[in-house]
This record gives sequence, C-alpha cells and structure tokens, in this order.
Amino acid sequence: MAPLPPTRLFWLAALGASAGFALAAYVFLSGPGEDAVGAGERLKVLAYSSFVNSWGPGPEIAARFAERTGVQVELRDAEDAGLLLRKLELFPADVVVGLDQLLLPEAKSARAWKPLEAGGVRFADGTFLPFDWGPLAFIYRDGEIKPPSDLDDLLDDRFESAVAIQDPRASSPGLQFLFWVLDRKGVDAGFEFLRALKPSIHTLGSSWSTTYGVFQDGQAGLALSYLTSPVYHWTHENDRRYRAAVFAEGHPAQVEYVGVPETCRKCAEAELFARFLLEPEAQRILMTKNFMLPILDEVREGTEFGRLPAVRIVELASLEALLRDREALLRRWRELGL
Amino acid sequence: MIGRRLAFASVFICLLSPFLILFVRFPTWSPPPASELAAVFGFTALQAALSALASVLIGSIGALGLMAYPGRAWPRMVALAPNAVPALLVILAAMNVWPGIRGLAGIVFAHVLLNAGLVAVSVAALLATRVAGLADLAYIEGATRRSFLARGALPLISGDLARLFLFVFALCFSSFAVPLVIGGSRATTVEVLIYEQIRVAPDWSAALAVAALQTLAILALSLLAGGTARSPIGAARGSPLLEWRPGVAFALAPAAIVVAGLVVRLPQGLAQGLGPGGPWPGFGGELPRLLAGSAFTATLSGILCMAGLVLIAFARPRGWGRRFLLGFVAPSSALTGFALLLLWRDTGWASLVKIAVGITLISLPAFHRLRWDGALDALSGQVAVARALGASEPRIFARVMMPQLWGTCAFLGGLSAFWAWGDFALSAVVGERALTLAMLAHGLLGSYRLGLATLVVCAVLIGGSLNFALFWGVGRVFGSRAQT
Amino acid sequence: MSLVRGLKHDYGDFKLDVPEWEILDRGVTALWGPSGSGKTSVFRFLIGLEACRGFSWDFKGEDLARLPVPARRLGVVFQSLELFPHMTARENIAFAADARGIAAGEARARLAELSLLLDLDQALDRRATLLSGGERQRVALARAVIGKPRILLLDEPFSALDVDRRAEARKLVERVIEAERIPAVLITHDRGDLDALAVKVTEIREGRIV
Repeated sequence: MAPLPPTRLFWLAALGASAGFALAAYVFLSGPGEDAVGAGERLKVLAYSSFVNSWGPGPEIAARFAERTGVQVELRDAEDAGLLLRKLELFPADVVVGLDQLLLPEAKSARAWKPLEAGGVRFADGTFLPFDWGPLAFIYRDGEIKPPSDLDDLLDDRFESAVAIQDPRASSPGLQFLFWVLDRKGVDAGFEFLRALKPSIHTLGSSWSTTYGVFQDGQAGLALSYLTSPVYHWTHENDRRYRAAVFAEGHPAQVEYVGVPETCRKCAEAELFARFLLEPEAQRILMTKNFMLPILDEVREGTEFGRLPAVRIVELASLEALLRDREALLRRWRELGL
Repeated sequence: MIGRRLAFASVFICLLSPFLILFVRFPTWSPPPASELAAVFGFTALQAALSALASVLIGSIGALGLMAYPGRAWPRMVALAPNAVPALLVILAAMNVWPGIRGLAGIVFAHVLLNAGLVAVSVAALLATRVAGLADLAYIEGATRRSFLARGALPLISGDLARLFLFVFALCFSSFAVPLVIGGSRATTVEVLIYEQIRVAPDWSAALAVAALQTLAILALSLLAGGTARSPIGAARGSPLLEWRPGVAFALAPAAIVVAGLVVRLPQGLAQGLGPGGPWPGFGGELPRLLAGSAFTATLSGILCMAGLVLIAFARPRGWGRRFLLGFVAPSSALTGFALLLLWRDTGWASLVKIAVGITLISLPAFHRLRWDGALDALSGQVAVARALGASEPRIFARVMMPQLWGTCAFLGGLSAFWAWGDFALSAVVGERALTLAMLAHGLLGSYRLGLATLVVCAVLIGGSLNFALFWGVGRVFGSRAQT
Repeated sequence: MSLVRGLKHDYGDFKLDVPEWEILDRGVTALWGPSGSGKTSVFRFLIGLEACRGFSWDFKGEDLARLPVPARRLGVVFQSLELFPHMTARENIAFAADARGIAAGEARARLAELSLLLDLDQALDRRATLLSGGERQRVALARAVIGKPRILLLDEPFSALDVDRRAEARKLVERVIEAERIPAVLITHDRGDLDALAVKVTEIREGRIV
C-alpha cells in the first residue's frame, strides 16, 4: 500500500491528537477523587440523575458523610428512578437511593434487601427508609389562570388545552397521576374522567422535564409536578407567581426511599449512609437541592418550604391492585387517545 | 478475498454485538401480543414515512439553496444544528411557531425541523459530486433548471434519494420523545414500547423481541426498496443549473426555528446560572472536564465511524451483505447502552469510550445508508476495470478507492462526531455520572433549569460544529486530489 | 483460437445461452447485436465480473474461466472508460503496469512507446477529469494494453464519441492491435465498427448466438 503523503499524515495526527488531548484533559480534570481511593474501598451509591448531579444533593451529602465517618462514597447515576432497578440488575451497589412507593413492590419481589427499621418515622416501610417526599400538585402562575380546586375542576373550559401531564408509560409522576385518578374515582369512572380531560390536555410529556419545560416556557398554563416546585422559582428566580393549586379532596404524595440490597459489600457503611439521609444536616441539603419536603418536619421551619400551603395527603387505597393490573391499565390508557 | 470477508465479518459482528451481548444475558425473547404490535408498528411506520417524505422534499429544495454557497461551511453547520439539540428544545421551538401543535401533522412538522437540514446538506453533497459535471454540459446546451432537475438530475440521484428517505425513515422510526409528546397517548411508537417494556413492565424479553422486530422490519423494507442507481462521479463544485439561492431558506428555516428557540432563552439561562443560588458554583468547575469529555467522545466516535466505513469500503460487500448493511438499524439507544454496560464494568474515561463505541454502532449503519453505499457503488466500474487489469485488492483499495472516498468518509465521521456532542439518550444509560456537556444539559432540564440547559446546548452546538469542521477539513485535504 | 463454452445464465426475465463461441487468435472478433441482446453479459462473464457453472474459456490449453480475475491477464476498455478521476493520464496508465508487476524501467519504456503510438504526449500530466473525450479514450486504451494482456476486450469503446471522431478512434485501435499483436474481442451494436475492424463477426440475439 502506498505511504500517506505528509499533509495527510499531519491531518490524521491532528485528529488523533485532538482525541488524545481531550482524553488527557478529561483524566486530568477528573481530579484526584476518581483515583485516590480504590473503587473497591468506596461505598457505591446508585441514585437517579438529579440526586447525583453536581448541583443536586448527592455530592454534598457524600462529602458530609465522608467527613463524619471517613467512608468515601462513589455516586452512580441510574438516570431516571424507573431505571434504578434495571441498573441494579447489571451493577451491584451498596445503597440504592430514590425508589418510590410504586417501585417498592417490584424492588421487594425482584431481590432481597436488608431491613431498615425506622420506628416512628413517617412513611416508614420496614425495609426501606423514606428520605424525602412531595405531594403531587398542579403548578400554575398566579395572574395567568385561575387555579383548579379539585380534579373535576380540570374539566372546566378555562383549562382548554392548558394542562401538561406526564405519560404514565414513560414517567413516574405520570403513573402516579393515573393511579391517583383511578383510585379516587374507580377504574371505569376514572378512565371516563380521563377521556373527558382530553380537551384540557396541552401536552402529554415523555418525562417530568418535558412537561415542566413546556409549562415553564409558557406554552402550557398548568403542569403536574410537586407541591414544592414553586420554591425553586421563589428562591432561584425570585419569581413568586409560581403556585401550587390546592385540592380540597387531598393530594397523593410521592415518597422517596433508600434501600440496602442484600448483596451489599459494605453493608454496615451502607446502613450508616441510609440512616445519615434522615439526619437534619442531610435532610436540609435534600430539601434545598432536591426541592422536596424533608421527612423531619422541623427542618423546613423558617425556610421557604415552611411557606408552602398545607395540604391533605391521601393514601391510594387500591395501590396494590392497580400495580398488579398495571399493564392492562396502561393498555387502556393508550386506547384513550388523549 | 479472505481479507475482504474478514473485514465484512468484523463489521457484521460489531453491528450485531448489542443484540448478541443482550442475548447472552437474556436468552429468551418473547414479543407482546401480535394485535398490539401491529398497531404500534403501523403507526410508527406511518409517521416515519410521512416525516421522511416531507424531510426529503424540503431538504432537497434546501440543497439547491446550499449549492449557491459552495465551499461555505457555515450554512451547512447551521442546517445540521437541530440534530444535536435535545428533543424537548426542538419540541418547544416547534410550539413557538405552531402553538397548538398536535397529532400526526405535528409529529411530521417536528421531524422535519429535526431532519430537513441534514437532508439538505447530504443532497447538496450528492449534487456536487455526482451531478455537477452533467449539469455543466446541460447548461452549455441551454437546458432550463427545471427540465434538467426533472429529467437529468432526478433520474441520476433517485437511488440516492431513496436511500436518504430510508435513512430519515429509520431515524423517525426510532424516534421517542417527539411522537409521544406531540402525538398523545395513541401515538405509541416502537421506541416507546421498548422503553415501556424496560422501565414499567419490566420485561427484557419483550423489549428485546420488539427491538429485534424493529430491526427486521427496517431490514425487510430496505430489501423491498431494492435496486440501486449508479451515477458517474463528477467534479465537486456548483453549477448554475443546480443553484437556486432562495432554496437556502428551506435548508436553514428548520434550523433557524430551532436556533431561535434557543437564543430567546439565553438571557434566562444567564440569569439562572449566575443568579441567586444558581448552580454555577456547583458545576462551573466541572465545565472543562465535561467539555473535554464531549470532545473526546465525539472525536473518538468520528474516528471509529471513519474506521468502520473504511472497513466496509475494503470489504466491498455485495449481495446479501450489502443488503444487510443498507437495511440494518441498531437497537434503540437504551438497549445499545445496556449492552455496552454489560460488556465491561468500568467507569470514568472508559465510559467515554463506551459512549463513543455506542454512538458509532448506531451511526455507522445510518451513515452507510445515507452516503457511503452510494459512494462505493459509484466506484464499482473503476474497481471492475482495476481488477481486470490485474490489480490486487489492497492496491485497488489504497490507490483507486480511498483517495476518492476520503472526503465522504471524513464528512460522515464529522456527522457522527456532531451527533455524539448532542447525545444524551445513550450516554445517560452508559455513564454513571455526567460525563459530557449534553448530559449536563439533560440534567439541567430535569431540575427546573430550562434556560441554563439552553445555554449548555448552545455550547454543545458550537463544540459540535467545530468538531465537524475539523473532520470536514480532514476530508478536504485528503479528498482534494480527487476533486480539484 | 480460443474457445468459450457453456456460458449459461438465467436472469429471470432474460436467459443467456452461449454453448460455444470461437475467438480468433489474431485480429478482432466482434460480438454484434442490438441493445438488450446479452452482449454486455457475455463481456461481464469473460472478464470475471459474473460467474456460472459449466463456463470454460480455453485459451491455448489454459481454462481462463477457472482463474481469478487478475490472473486472466486481460486488457479491458469499458463503454464508460472508467478512468480513475483522481489520477493523471500517466498515473492511470502506470497503475496498470504496476498492477501487472512490470518493472519500473520497462513500464517507462512501454509508456513512451504507447504515448507515441496513441499521440498522448500532451495529455499525460493532465488529471483524467480534464481530458477531452478522445484523449480519455486513448488513455483507456493505453491502460488496457500496457500490461501486455493475453487478449483485449472492448465494450462499445466508441459509443461515447461523436460520429466524426469514431473513424479516427477505430484507426487508433487497429493500430494498437497490430502493433501489440494481441487478439481483441469487440462488443458493439454499431455496424460501422464491424466494417472497420472485425475479422470475424458473431451475432447475438436474445441471449443466443445466431
């Protein structure tokens, strides 16, 4: 084969060098944290992205935990809470952060977990420890639209093509909303309600961020999110128009749990980390960086979270049956043609 | 001959590797009920076909506009921009110009925003290299633009346009967020079904069966599409009959809509980044690392893509091998990502390598379909002569084929790099923390920071464009002898 | 004399069936027929772009059909000429010499010889894309014969030229064949080619020799 002329060699080298330089920069800038402690010695914590991100609660909590216990934590990103269990199948972790009530039954049936007793703690489960929670609520901008007073009010003409909700097939809050409606109204009447909701729907988002993005952009007037969402806009954007609509009938809550799989390698440290999330120090970080309510009520006193409206929390009585029939219910959802 | 077979076998195995790895881990695959599948595949195919048709039509008109600016890189880069923008921002941009966007027409509109620019760039390159010579002749003989395009250019590149259609069709076939958000609950695409099976059901056997069916469906379609056209190679340049300045609006309008959607949100982004409690202190220090991560992943994926294309060129597959490459689509980003996760369990920079490999596995068959097969086909006559004259395979490859292919090869490598800058679907599965700027943007979208995410996306676009330009430059230097 | 036997292939909508065909050892053997008659298919089998069972080509005791394409040692000129556009005329011709493993000194001498014969001096250092139609044709011819092939195969070699230039081109081909003393197979639909060049004419229609 003929040798390459020098100009071409130069360009090939330039391509290789840019890749090499970028890699070197990456390794250099990854900092000592990446390699200072051997991977085997670190506590592996699997969590969803917004926990792991640098502006999320994970890194600060990990740093405080290391200060307190000397145990280094390696945070692993599972992207979405719904993928936590899938990633856990592939990668062993010592701690799993971010399972919600809808995922707990599957988590328990899929594998064994170390019991984490937490006597007297709200939403305690016996196997998993709750670390934060948030009532599902519709968020609106004050002065832009009169907020709904309950689920039925969403059918009102003033919400024509104004509501952004998540698709339950792709998103946790979407599934929560579907179950909320079906639990509250019964399955058949619930689907009738959803059919009637069609004119009000602006967007069925593929994820929370899609739905909330459409709302934030001003395209939709109302978005299904959490009661706590306005706090972000109050504190970070100094925009107090954002409010959560309070439903007299109550709101279901999403509770986030931490668990320790039976297959843990650093089990004692894992349990220590799980319990650390319930300490006021960690609870404060979780609240302000995850924009969710702390399990310890006293933590929110004197903060913007303390100014959120009080809402009645409803338990989904038929949750177990709904979870069992999930696939059939999702098929019916698809047939609704929303 | 053995060398060629070996080269093809290695490409074949690499492309199938996600399926093979997942098969080892999850050996039983059982699809959901046929009635459900039929409905999902039917809708997916319908929206993909309409989207591809509209994109090819609008992109082809746009190409005549790009031809009026030969040798200028920036209109081409602008046209490519939507391909590296997160779907949400494309959807928001679509909503800006079409407030009540819904249904099938809405899906097609958003897909055109995403793909028309890429089609325009590809058709422009096609016209420049394959039709320009003939156009000059026709121009001298007094042909009008319309008659030349209809009777001269179209028959020459109809096979390539069919390949482009198939390329966009395959992209839209595996589209996820656009059909779901704009189409509503009935708009279940195959990709939504796969995601639902992994995430909600959870049922790996069904997810894998659906992914395999998706690949087979597109393969079958490409077999049906069949025949390929052969066209002469001309000089890479413009020609009066192939230039239509107003057409540039068709190439750039989709990108302009998307880019304008980004620009209007920039002040909000700055405020979110630097304002009270903004996350700047949190990730500001990480930016150089993420920038390096993106640059490495993208450059490596461009290089790997080029290496794959060179291997295919050496293999010169014919018969079923060629048909396989023309019709193959990688399993969804999520499944390819999970397969790579199973491959080896490293973190840090090794994850970057995995992302680059994953993007190559997805982009290689797409780009082969887009331009590479046509480029190889155009050389078949020369290869036949060279063989008959007694040249060995390595000599034909090195002296006849590659000098004429470097330009296209580097162009496609650059496209792969550009895709890699914008990818988060695969990176999010493979990466165990934010490794690239696109992953950062994705994370910001998931935590109220829409404006700041837009800012990062702009950085992604600039980085992607520069990287594309680097590959383009390589292509121009390497291909210059063949084209001047 | 070389003998082609058992050339049979079913393309579905078209059948090629040439049980036997003699090619002369000297001068031009022409295969003549209208378009679609199967001429180009025969050409593709001869140079090895296609293969079929039972096909043999006995050339001085050797079965060329059994040899791999490069080992058949043929010189070919395609209808589309297929010059390598990224190379100069000189590089195009030298490529064939290299491919046949002709030593550099000998290749240079052959190139000078052919250049004189085909009047290529002015064109040698121009890129193939910048050559005129006639020059392209002469370069293709020089490229085909520089490696001293057993036999020269020409597929409609004059169809790209306008009528005025064809006579001149035919003369050039005749001159080359005589100077190089190689037998040639000419595939054509043009009776003018037959009158000017052919020593023997075989007619083909609907895939069969008539």
